[in-house]
Amino acid sequence: MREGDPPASTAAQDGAGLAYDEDMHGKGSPSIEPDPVIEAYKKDIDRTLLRESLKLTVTQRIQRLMEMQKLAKEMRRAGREALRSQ
Amino acid sequence: MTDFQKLLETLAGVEFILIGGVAATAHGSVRLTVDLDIVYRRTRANVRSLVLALAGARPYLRGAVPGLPFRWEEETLWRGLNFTLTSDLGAIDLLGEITGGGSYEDLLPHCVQMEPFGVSCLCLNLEKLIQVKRAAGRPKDLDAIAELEAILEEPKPEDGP
Repeated sequence: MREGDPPASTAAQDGAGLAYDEDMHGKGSPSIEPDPVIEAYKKDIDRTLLRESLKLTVTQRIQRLMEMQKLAKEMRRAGREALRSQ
Repeated sequence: MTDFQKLLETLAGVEFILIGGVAATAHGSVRLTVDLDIVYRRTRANVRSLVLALAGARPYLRGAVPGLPFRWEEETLWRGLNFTLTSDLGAIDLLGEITGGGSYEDLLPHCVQMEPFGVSCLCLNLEKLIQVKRAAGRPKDLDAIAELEAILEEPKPEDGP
């Protein structure tokens, strides 16, 4: 989180007064039947990262996504440069 | 790079539903995505609003040969359905319908309202997002679906220890 960002505890306030725990998941949507292939993929999910993400507001999550884009772009540039200099 | 904040601000006033990777991010996904996917309402008035809203960002067909005739106007959107575009603000996919989800009206009961960057918008709820990703049947989505289902399994704040 960057300096000046709102505290993570405001996560539920970011969704226009939306309480994430009540509405974000899918009130009225059909429940998800387990799929063995997806269950296999699920074993490798780092849930600690998800828990950190869930502490953020929606705005903070999208801001972090934009930061990830910048990082990916910079790493691609650095990688190309390294290959050229070899 | 896609400026999601500016794109969302630009789309304020347009009737659309956030889906795809950015919707997943809104729900807590930590995966990288590079385009904004929206399902837009297919009414004449809304198509006009969408065209006007994005006009300043100079949308163009993504991956098309430069110079290909493409007119960003109401009629173009009305005669087509799904558009994968590049723009001055980044990549944006405008979808009239999606596999496993249908149209804007079909998806509306499965949305949550949120205000990223102070912009009020609708986002597909987590269960429906999983359902449409499953329906798309793309092997590349398996990891993303697994992550979304893991988010769904996380205890909600009121569940307690």
